[in-house]
Amino acid sequence: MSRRRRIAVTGMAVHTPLADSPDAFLAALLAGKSAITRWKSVDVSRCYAKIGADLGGFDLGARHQELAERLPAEVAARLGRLMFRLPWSPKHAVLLGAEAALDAGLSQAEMADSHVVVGGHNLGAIYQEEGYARFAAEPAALPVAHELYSLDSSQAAVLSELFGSRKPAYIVGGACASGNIALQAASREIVHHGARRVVVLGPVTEMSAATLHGFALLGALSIESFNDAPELASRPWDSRREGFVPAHGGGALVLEDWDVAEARGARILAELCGVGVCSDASHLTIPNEDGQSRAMALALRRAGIAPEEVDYVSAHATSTPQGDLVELRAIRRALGARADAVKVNATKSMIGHSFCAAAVLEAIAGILQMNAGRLHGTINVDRPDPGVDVDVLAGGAADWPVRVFVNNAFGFGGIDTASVFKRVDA
Amino acid sequence: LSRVVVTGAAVNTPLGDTLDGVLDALVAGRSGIAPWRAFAVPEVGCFVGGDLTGYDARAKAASLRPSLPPEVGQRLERLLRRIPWSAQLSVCVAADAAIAARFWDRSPDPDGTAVLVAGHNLSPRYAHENWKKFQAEPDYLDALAAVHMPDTNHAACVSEVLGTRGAIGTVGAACASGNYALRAALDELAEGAACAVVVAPIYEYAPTTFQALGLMRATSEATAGEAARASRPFDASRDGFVPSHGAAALILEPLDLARERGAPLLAEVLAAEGGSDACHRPPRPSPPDQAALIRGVLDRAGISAGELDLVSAHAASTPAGDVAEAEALALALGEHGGTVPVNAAKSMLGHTGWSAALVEIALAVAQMRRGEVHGTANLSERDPAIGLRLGDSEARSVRTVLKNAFGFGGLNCVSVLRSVE
Repeated sequence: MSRRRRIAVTGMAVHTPLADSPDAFLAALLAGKSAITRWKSVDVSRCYAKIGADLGGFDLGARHQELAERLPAEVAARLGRLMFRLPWSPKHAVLLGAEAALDAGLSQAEMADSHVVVGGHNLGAIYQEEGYARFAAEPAALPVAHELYSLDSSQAAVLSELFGSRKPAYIVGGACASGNIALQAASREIVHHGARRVVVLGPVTEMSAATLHGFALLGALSIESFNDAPELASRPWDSRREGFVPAHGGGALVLEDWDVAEARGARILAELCGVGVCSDASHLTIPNEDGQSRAMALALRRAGIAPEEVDYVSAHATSTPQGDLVELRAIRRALGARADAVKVNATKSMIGHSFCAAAVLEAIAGILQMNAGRLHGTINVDRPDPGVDVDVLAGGAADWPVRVFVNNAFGFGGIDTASVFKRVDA
Repeated sequence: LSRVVVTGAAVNTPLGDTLDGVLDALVAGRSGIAPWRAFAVPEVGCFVGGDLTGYDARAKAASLRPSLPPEVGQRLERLLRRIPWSAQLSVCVAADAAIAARFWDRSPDPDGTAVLVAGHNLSPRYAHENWKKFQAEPDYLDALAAVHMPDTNHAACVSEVLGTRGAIGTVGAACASGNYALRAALDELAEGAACAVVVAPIYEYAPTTFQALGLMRATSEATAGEAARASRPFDASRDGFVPSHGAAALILEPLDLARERGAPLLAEVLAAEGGSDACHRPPRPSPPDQAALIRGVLDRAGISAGELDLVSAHAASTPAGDVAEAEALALALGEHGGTVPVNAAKSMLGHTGWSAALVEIALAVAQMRRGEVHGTANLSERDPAIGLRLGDSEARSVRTVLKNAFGFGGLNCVSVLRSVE
């Protein structure tokens, strides 16, 4: 396996409260807009957590209609059946999958030839809790499909069904780092399992009041100072940061064997060069500089890229007191002197923390910025923490040529990951 | 590409928590199915299952400690005081497999050792209980729910106990999860990992799970008095699967590294491959697709149908699933379809859900090692549509095994193992 197959990114889709298409996503990020509001679609009356990025207003029906006109008729018919039956998060899954496939210009046969990898777990809290409530009132009122749709694996199954694909379909997970683990699994489908293309989903995690409360009890969330100014709450590297801001958000990518993509004349958006995943050997939620820097170093080594070639780091940076600075030290350890020359930013300052989907959304944000030659700022850094010793773009968006970027994602349970992307003409 | 071997295997099932003990029970035809005790079963739910309720993980840990390095034993006991019951079972079964692999004799490089957990939504009962607490009073929620609820906690706890610092994550595809995790481990090792620890935790089940499965008529309607006869794969009167608790762990290493450190070479993993029915609901198992998947994995493994000595069937005892699998095997194996021995561990163990493939792989490895295969229980009147060679336990040399797993939602994965020459 000395000559690895190259992995091309050929399609992208996003659903965040900030934007519902890649172009709009880039524009909103460059404009420094915040997606954070008080929760509207989640009843948080009994929780400490009051704010987040809320996709409750996303018009699923309108998006479905719009896609139905653009999809091959059979796929559109399947999408219609699925939209009729599925719970909320899997509805986003099939829409995102369809959008990414269209963005990649896939034909019906090419869709049916796609492997499916979903990066995420414990996604359907609202669906499950509705079932618990109905069951408590009257056991027979539990929906027949409760068990099927309580399973995260159904998100992979519904994408297979949408595409009419008989190829491998499964989910992988790594808490908030799930997106990078999915990118790794997807590239392995191409390298080791003969896949021509893979649709990778970063699914929308449903936020229930109990889930949010669990994070609040852990002391992980911003719940004190910004409830009346939610747009200020996610402030990575700022002195007043107090925890992460949970977010709805999902994204999808189409990865293809480079030669296959070229042969079909696909528009190649970027190259996925390598992914690194490693463990801190600790189930607790303590950020670990060593593990984070090992993940970055491993991803770069697998990519065959030297630290000196990195131009930009899309940080995990969730706006927690400890984590944000540990990550900067890890970047310095992994990149050495190059840390003084790279730009670093935190997409979560605007879109919040979308859990399992974060690394997929931030890979998309990174690719869009790289291809635009312009990086978004990190918003709300009014008074940088004294420990900040790299350029985190506190002053706003800036033109910056990017040939190579690193996309960090670190998850609860000591799960450290990084992915490395390269510009096509680089 | 380096060959991959299983160097350690362990299981925990209602028939016991030692691999040899469970195989003894299967060979003797004993059933692990009994009236369900973990929670009151809702009216339409199934009433019987393989229930590990009351299993004492701390007693198991105490029995493992003499075989563990002191610091590992300490970490194990410390963790067992803090984590939910199902995660306790995961760390115990992983430690058990590591002991079998003589993991601490010239240990594999910790930075190159991966921990992969098979499954998803592992703790529905914990989730349900916490939801009830939250409804009563939000602050009654387990203060560490956000740490304990995610499936990844099982992987993190195993990594912490074993001290691994390589790749980590979960891999899931319903009942095919175990084979998919094995497949991910092969990729990890192909990319240079020194070792992969694959752990399949128990699937906890919740009252709502039982109710929903009952409403779907997916599970057997056997009554308490019929428990041992409830799971009857390939039998004419089968009426659904029987839920069961079961966990497993495998230690996988490249053959050369395993040899170098003198690890037991229990079996070689030749290949694992996945596919989908392209239909998430209702279950619509497709024999031609399953057959293509089986032929594909045999090709990848480089063996012919005639070389198979045993098929460890998925055979969950569902009316549609079992007959589809039999048809798929007939299609895939051609003239050998009626002669290769097939057995169904679920006839005695029930369906352990996401862990099933890994539990049954561990048992297949034990059968290869022992030269004895277990039979399929409760075959009082074989379904005439099933032309497979099913039988009783017997002494038989087993070199090559096919392990099928066809999952809920139409997610499938099969694997092939061979004894190490």
